[in-house]
Amino acid sequence: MARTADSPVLEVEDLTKYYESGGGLVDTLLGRSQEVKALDGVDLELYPGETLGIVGESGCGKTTLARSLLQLIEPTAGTVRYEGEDLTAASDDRLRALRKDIQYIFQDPFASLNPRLTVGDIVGEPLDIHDIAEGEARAERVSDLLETVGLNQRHAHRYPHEFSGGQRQRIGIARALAVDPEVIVCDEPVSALDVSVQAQILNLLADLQSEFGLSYIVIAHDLSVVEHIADRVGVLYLGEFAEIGPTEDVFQPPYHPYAEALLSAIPEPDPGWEGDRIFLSGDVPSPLNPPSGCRFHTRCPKVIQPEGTDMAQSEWRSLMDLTQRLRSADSLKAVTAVQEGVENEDLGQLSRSALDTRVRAEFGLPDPIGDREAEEVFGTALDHLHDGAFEAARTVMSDAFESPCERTDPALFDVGDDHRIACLLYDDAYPDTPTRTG
Amino acid sequence: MSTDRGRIRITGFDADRVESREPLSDWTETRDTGTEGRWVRAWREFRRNRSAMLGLYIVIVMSLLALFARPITIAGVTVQPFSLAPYDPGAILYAQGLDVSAYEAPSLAHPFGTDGSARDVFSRVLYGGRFSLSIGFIVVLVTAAIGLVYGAIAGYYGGWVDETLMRILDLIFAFPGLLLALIIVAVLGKGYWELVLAFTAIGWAGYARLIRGEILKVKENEYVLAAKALGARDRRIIFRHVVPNAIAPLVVQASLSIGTVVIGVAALGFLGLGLPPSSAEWGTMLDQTRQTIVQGPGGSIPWWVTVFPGGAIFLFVMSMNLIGDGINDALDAQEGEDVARGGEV
Ligand code: SF4
Repeated sequence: MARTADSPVLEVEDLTKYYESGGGLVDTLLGRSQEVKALDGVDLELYPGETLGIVGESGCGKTTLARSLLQLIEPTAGTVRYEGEDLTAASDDRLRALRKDIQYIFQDPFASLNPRLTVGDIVGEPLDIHDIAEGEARAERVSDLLETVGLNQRHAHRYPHEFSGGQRQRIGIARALAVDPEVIVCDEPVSALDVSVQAQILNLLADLQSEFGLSYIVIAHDLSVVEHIADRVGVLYLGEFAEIGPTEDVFQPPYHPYAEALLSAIPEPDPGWEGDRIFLSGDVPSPLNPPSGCRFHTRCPKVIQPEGTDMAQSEWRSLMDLTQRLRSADSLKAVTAVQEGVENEDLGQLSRSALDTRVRAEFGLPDPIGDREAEEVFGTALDHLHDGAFEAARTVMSDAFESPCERTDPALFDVGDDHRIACLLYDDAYPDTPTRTG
Repeated sequence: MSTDRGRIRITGFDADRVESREPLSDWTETRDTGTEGRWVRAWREFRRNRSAMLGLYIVIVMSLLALFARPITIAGVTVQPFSLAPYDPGAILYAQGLDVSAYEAPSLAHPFGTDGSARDVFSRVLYGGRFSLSIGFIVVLVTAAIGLVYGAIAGYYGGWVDETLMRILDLIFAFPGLLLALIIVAVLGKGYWELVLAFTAIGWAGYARLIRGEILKVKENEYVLAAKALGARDRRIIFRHVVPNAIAPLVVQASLSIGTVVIGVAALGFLGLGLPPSSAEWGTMLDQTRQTIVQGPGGSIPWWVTVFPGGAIFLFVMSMNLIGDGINDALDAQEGEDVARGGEV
């Protein structure tokens, strides 16, 4: 994309949203309520006429980001500037007026249209709200809008339930267009639709963009959607950007390890494609208690080894997994492989060698581990486990296997023109980590 | 900006067709019938329900009879000249020189007989509908409207607004309804508008609670957020998006409680706290003749003075309940816990 030297239409700085969680009155009084860090200091700019894609797994804060951009959710901190004007500080009336410029397209075309209103009234509502058109002019504008999004003006008197998902999404788009906005935030605009319809809707969005000079922020969980439509892409992980840059750059090395894993999951149209899928270990951690340091370290296949360690990356990852599991759990059950068909077995009765096998099986550790020192530490930890000294095992492992990624929260490092990656691998302080060979 | 970007090309899917936007090429209407609103659909459903339709006919007939029982004059101008009731409901017939005595059994001249003051019971029953029915409808309209606004505000805004409003409701629920109505009438005195006020004062609380619960559900819908994103004001969001989607149970509740109010009015009348004693209101008529249930003059029981007003109450309330059930079925409304309390008076 040839970005002009324009100033951004939308400028987001340090946008943060924490939710209170488990907040019963008693919990709050006792100071026990916890915060869900849905969004943690997100910065972004949107330039006129461009499309910024934002991808991430579910629960990474995408929808929170989209909604707090429009102040549909009040952000905890941060600013959202539209043409220099801070939306978070705007009065209610001013904000209502500004909504003419920034519009929203919802993910679910079934839930986002009022079932009691006709399509004409749904699309005409913004005209009424902002006193844009009345009577004849309103009817005309509504049928114009319907035609623009590929619907027929005859449909104005029908109700949403008479339409298919794709048609409904068109209605939602017409509604957003009615106020003649500059920016449209699309929250997963096609994920509720059939694949063939998805392409239609995405193409419609692209057409409208060139026709009306719109700027888009497109939220998606699917990189392939974003690949086609976005000029720039931001990859969100647990409320923070892991990587942000022009689409071509994000889809090519250098990668953020998380983005790389997401990319590896996109199937190629080539039927001979074998796939080189990177599987991430573990689940997405809870935003209630996000991991320290780099938030991706609990799952990162490239998690950095401490200085002086040099073992196969997969073994290192497995050892990290074991360490993390020990930290969060307190029973042998959590660290041993499940034996088919055996229920309620007393793991404390296992012999030292049986326990050894089971733990290695659970984490895919070879016997012995390639690195001698690591094997020794593992042995010690296992002894403790066998003695039932869970705490001791935890300490031994934690002390021996600590990645810099757990300690340091990486900033977004510049890796190219306008391309930034939040990963210590790209920090000059770790010039040549063993990971690059692993 | 490159023009290539943004267009998806998938083999087997003809992107150019979409570009030229051939109108609705591959779209089929899910239904080909004309558009009809939900109320139209509900009405069609309702019409199929025989008992509900029977109730509706009865209520219509009773209302018309009450309306046309005696002429209505407003400020000296007769706006309704018809007079179906043969006699003035308040007229003591022998005082008018007619050959009529008290407690005359039903005959052709007096189909429902005469009461203890030699008034024509038929005329009184017809005319009495005016009190019971109009109080019933007015009270329900007013209470439902108040409850709707109150509950909508509590449910939509939530937080401390909701907390405060709901605690006030709890206070009202803590009073036994009919007793409160009794006290109000006792304090304000007997009369038509006093009765309306007494029943309104307690009746709205049930609607408020019902609509609040519905609104809590409805406001979670994305179309409410969508309206907010368009810049709609709260008032518009509540009354255009939230309330219309929450109102069905309220309509059901309102139709069911018209009967309850009518019974309540009759009950107060029977206790001598309704309208002035000589009024033709159904409950008051029962009160006036209550001794006769036990023992009439001459050892016979003049059943007609109680059966006909009582029957009128029964018929009306039953019909209203049939209608309410019919509306409920037609709207497929969910009856929540609150519904049970909704119409208590
Ligand atoms: S900082 Fe470490 S854990 Fe985080 S992505 Fe980079 S290598 Fe992985």
